[in-house]
Amino acid sequence: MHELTVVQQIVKIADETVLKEQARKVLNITLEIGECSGIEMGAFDFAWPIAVRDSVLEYADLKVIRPKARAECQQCFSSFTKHQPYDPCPKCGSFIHHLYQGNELKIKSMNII
Amino acid sequence: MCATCGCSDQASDQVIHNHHSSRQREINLEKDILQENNLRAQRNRGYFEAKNIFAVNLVSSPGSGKTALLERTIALLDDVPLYVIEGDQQTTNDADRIKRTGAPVVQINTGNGCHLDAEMIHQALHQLEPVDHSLVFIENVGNLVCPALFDLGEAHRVVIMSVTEGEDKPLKYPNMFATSQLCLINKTDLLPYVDFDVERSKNYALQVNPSLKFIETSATDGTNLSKWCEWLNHHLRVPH
Repeated sequence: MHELTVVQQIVKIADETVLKEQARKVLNITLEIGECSGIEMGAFDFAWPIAVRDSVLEYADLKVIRPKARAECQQCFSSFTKHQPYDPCPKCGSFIHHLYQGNELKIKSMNII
Repeated sequence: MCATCGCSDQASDQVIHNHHSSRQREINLEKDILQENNLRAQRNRGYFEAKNIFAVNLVSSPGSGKTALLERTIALLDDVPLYVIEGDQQTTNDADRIKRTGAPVVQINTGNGCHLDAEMIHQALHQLEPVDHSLVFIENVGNLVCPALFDLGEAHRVVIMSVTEGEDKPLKYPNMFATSQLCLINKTDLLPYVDFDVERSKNYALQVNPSLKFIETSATDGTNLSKWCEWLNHHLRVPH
């Protein structure tokens, strides 16, 4: 249940941003959570309303962008989408890949007022 | 009078009050959610490097034999100053076991938390005050999911899997195996009694991490513990 820690960190960053910008609250927030970032979205959605209660994010609309896991094979250099972390390269079967997309765990933007 | 800052009505007409502004604006943050932990982890890493301390983060599911392995390792490495940070949700049972070996130990109880974070390690280091050229073992909370996401500032992450578990653990919990450098396959003394294919489990682990190294150990009968100690000694000597 590290998702709760993750939401608490988001609340902390939102609090700091609202304070710095001398705003009052967040209207909407956009996150990027890659498919290989280690976040279970069911647990995340469960933790969200609990962690944002009485915070600047309480009434914020949440938008989550989920980048797909994209990898480049380090043997044949073809690019492909990983459906499972243990998928081989569909072209040559190698397991040596560089994951260049799908690890994201960040706050992209916020609309504040 | 302004209720936010207390300025007079007259003043609020004249100066720009950002906090009064009802202007909606977009802030492009592009901020890593775990940046606070990552920064603290880097601070720990700098501390370890400056003092030539080799820090190992031991991760596994509960009951893989981490504490037993540590007890044996401490006894074998009696010429190396070593320290232990124990992470568990509750109790000081593991720390008590380590204490009996004579090694300085700090127990962290995470309460409802499912993992150790870099700040907890920072606090524990203040208590331990490890000497230069020493070895610091961090025994993480027994959990193959959550600790994978939290860098503690360690030099290496070692994942322990025991032969009493399913051999497909690396496929079920890929993040932990993908972020580790060494995998200990422990409790090999039980191999005759369980249906566990060592080669197959290694192949599964290599699917998610082709550069993972393995040592098959038994903390009970001592198999390959010398190899494990050799690995630790090598990293103690070689700057990382």
